[in-house]
Amino acid sequence: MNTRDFIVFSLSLALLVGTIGAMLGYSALQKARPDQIRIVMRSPERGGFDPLDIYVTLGEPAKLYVKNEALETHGFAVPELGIGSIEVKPGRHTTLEFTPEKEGTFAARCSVYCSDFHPLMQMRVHVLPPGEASAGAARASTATDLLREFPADIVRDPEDLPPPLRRNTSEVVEVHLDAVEVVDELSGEPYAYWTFNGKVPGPFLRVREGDTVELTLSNGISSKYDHSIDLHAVTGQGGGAAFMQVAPGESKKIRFNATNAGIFVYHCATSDIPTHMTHGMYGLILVEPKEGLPEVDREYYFMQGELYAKDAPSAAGFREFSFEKMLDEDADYVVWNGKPAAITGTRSPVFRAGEALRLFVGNGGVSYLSSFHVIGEIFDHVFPEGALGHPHGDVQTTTIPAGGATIAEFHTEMPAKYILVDHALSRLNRGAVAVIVAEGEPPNGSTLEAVPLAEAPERPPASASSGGGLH
Amino acid sequence: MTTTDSPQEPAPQAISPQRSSLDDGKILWLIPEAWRLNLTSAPWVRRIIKSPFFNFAPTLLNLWIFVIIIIGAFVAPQIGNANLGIMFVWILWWVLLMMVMVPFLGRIWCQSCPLPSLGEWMQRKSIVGRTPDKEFLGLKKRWPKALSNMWLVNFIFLGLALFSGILTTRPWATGLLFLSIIVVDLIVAYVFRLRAFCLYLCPVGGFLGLFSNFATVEVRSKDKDICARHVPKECVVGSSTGYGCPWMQLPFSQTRNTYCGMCFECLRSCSYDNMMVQLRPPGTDLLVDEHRGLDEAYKGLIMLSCAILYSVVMMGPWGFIKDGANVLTWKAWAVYAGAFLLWALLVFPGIFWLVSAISRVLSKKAGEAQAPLKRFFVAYSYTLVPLGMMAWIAFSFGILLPNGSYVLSVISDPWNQGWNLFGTAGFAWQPFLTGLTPYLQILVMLGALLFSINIATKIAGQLFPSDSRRAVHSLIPVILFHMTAVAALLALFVG
Repeated sequence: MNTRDFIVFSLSLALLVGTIGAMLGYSALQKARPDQIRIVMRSPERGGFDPLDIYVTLGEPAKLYVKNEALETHGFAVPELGIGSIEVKPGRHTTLEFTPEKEGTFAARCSVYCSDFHPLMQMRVHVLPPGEASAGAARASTATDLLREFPADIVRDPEDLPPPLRRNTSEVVEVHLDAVEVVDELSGEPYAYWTFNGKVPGPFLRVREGDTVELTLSNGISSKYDHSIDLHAVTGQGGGAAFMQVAPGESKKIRFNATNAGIFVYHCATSDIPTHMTHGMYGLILVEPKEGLPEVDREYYFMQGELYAKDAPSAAGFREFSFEKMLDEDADYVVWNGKPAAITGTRSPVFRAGEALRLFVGNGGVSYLSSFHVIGEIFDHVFPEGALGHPHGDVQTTTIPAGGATIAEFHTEMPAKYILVDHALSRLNRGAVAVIVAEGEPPNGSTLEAVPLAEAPERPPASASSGGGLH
Repeated sequence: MTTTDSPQEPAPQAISPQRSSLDDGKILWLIPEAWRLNLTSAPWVRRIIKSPFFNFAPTLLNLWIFVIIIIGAFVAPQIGNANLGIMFVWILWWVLLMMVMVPFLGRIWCQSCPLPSLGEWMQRKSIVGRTPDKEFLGLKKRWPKALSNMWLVNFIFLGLALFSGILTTRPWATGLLFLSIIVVDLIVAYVFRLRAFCLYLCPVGGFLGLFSNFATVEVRSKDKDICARHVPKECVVGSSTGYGCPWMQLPFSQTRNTYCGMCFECLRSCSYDNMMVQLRPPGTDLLVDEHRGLDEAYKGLIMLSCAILYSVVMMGPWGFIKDGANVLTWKAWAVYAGAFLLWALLVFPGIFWLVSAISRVLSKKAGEAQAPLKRFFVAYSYTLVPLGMMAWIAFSFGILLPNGSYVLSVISDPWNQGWNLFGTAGFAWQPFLTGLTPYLQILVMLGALLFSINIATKIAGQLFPSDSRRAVHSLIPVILFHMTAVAALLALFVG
C-alpha cells in the first residue's frame, strides 16, 4: 500500500467507524436519558409494551417517551391518570408529560385495536409516594401474566341500577352506550368479552312509558368488530339494529318511543349475532308503567348468559371462543352477570331480613331457557316473561326464555344466604349461581327452624308398619 | 458477449451491409442513428474523469451509506417505512436507477457500487488509482466458460424476485442481502479474475447491462486505426496510468454497452488518449446485430414478465397473491413462487416463442431459405428492452409518488431511533402528485410502444434487408405482441 492509499484508507476508515460509532453512541445516550421514561410498543405477540411496569412519583412531573416499534398503529392511554388516547403510528414516537396526583397502580393500555392479541397490549404505571423506591414495587414478567393479574373486571354489580323514576311526565331521555371489547380472566385464563360499557350485562336502562329515548351507541377504536343494538322494547326494523351498525371508531344514534311498559332485553345484533351475544353483549331496559312500580326496599339486576370456550388456550395464552360449541349448545359456563359464580362472597349484596326485594332477571342466552329459582324463597309476585299486566303469585320457579326477562318480587322472613340458581341444576356446576345475603335476627315465629332430634316424635318400630300403606 | 476470457466467441451473425427500406436510419424517425457528441473532448472533463478519485469518491460515499444501511438493518426496529435501507434502496435508489441512471448513463451505478468495491480493492491491493504492483491478489482463475453468460444472473435474479415481498419491506432482509453480496463477491474476487461477480452473478447486473443498450451515453474508441496499431492493448492489459478493463471487455472494439461498467478505466490506461465518452441517440445498441444470445433474450423476457407480474402483485386487487408474495404462509409462497417461475420462464417466453414462430411463418417465401426460429426469437427479443425498461419506469412512478415522502423523514432518523438530524423526522407521510401517476404511466407506456415498434421495424429490416414486404409480414405479430403487453400493463397501472 503506497502512502496515498494509506492516507485515503485511514481517512475512509475513520469516516466509516467514526460515523457508525457516533450513531451507536448517540443512540445509546438517547435511550439512557435520565429525564424521561422510555416506553417501547411492539406488536403484542412480540411482547407488547416494554417495560411492563414503570414507576413515577406522586406529585412530581414525569415525562414519558413512547415509541412505536411495531408495524401497526398503537395507542397509549392511562385514563385513571388523565392520559387520554394518544395514537402513535409505526416508527413514530410521542412524548408526554404529566404529574400524577393519586397514588396506586394504574393500567396503561393500547387504545387502538391493533391485532387479535390487542388485549395483551397493557402495562402498569405505579405511582409511588415521595421517597419510596421502585425496587420493592411489583414487576410483571410477561404481558399474559399482567393480563391475569390486571383483568378488566366485567362483572356487573347487581346493585348497579338506577333508582325508580318517580315522575309523572314523559321526557326525552338521553342514553349513551359504548361497545367495549375487553379481556377478563375466566377460570384463571384471559378471555375476550364484548360488552356494553365494559360490564356484563350492559347498563340497566330505565325509562318511563311514553318517554322518548335518544340512544347513542359508540364503538371505540380499540374494538376489532362492528357492534350494534337491538332493543326488544322498540318496535321497528331490527328493534333499532337496522340503524345502529357501528364500526370501530364510529357512533350512531336512534330515537324511539317507549310505548310498552315492561322489562325487555337489549343485545348486540351484528352478525354473527349469537357470537356477539354470548361474548356478553346483552342487558335489560325497564320501561316503567306510567303509574310506576310498587315501592320495594331493594332492587337487584341479574342476567344469565352462556360462555363457550375452546378447551386449549391460544398461542397468546387466551381462552378462545368456540363457535362449534355454541352451535352444539354445549356451554362451558352458565353465568350470572358475566362470570361463573361471580355474585358470591364479597360481591354478594347484603340486605336486612324482612326487606321487600325486586329482582330484574334477564336471560341473554344464547341457547338455554332458564328455570329461575331462589333457594329458600317463594316469589310473592312474578311478572312472567316481563309482562307487567298479570303477575303470578307464590311462585317457586319461573322460566325465563333466552332473550327474555322477568321481574320477581319477594320478601325474606329469615336471615340467610339466598342462592339464585337456574334449577336445571347441572348448570350450577357450570357457574349458574349467585348469592344474596339477608342479615338480621329471625322474627318471632320463625318460618323455619332447626329442631333437636330429642324432641322429635318417636318413630314407630318398623314391624308396626307392616300391613300399612295407602288405602 | 465479447470478453478477454472467451476468445473463441462465435463469429457474429452477418450484419447486412445494406439498409432495409423500412429503416430510415433514424431513431424514432427523428434522430440519426449515427449522431454522436463527444462528452470528453474538453480537457478539463477528461482530467476529471481520469482522476483516480473520480471512481473512488462516489464509491466511498455509497459505501458510507450502505454501511449505515446494513447496520441499521439489524439495530433499527423492523419498520420498513421508517428505515433508511428500505426507503433508500427500494424507493430512492431503485427509482434513480430505473428512471435516470440506466436510460441515460447505462451502468454508471456499477462504477460506484460499493458492494464489489471491497473485492476489487482486495484484488488490486489498492483503493485509489493504479499501483505500480501489477500482481493482483488472489487465485486469478478464469470464470468457467460454460457460465460466461447471463443464465446464472437470470436465475439469481428470479430467485431473489421470489422473495421481493420480504426484501423490499423487511430491513433485516435487505441488510442480509447486501452482506451476502459482499461476502460472495469477496470470495469470487479472491478465486476469479477481475469483476467476475458483477458480470456473472450480480442479480442487478444482468438487467442493468441489457437496459444499458438503451442508454444515451457510451464509451468507445475514437479512432479504430490507432487501436488496430496499438500493441499491447492497454485498455485490456492496463498501463502505468490505469488498469486493464476490470469487466474483461475489449474496449477498443466495443460496440454495445451490455458489459461496460462505465468505470472509465480505459480512458485512464490508453496512452494514446483514444477512448471517449459520447452522447448518442437512445437504443442504438439494440440495433447491433452482434453477440445477441438466448441468455440476453431471456433476460429481456424475464424483465418484462416480472414488470407485469409485480404490477399484478402490488397494484392488483388480488389479496391472495399479495399474501403469497409476502410469505404469509410458506404454502401460499410456494404456490406463488411456482406460478411466478412458470410465468417468467415458460409461459411468457413461450408466448413470445409462438409470436416469433408466427412471424417466421408469415414472412416465409416459397423457394427461399428462412432463418432459424431462434434467430427470430433472439433478434426480436431486443425489441422488448425499451418496453421492459419503460414498464419498470412506469411501475416505479407507482412507488415513488405515493411513498417518496418517507425518504424525507428517514434522512433525519435513519435508524428510527427518534432522532431529528436535519429537522425532517416529523415530516408526515403524504402522497406526492399521485393524481398524475396514471397520466405519466400512460405517457411512458405509449412512448415505450412507439420506441419498441421503431426498434422492431429496424430489426425486421436486419432480418430481411432486401425484402421489405417479408419484413413487414414478420413484424405484424411482434407489434401485436407489443400492443397487447402495453395494453395489459396499462390496464394494471390505470385500469
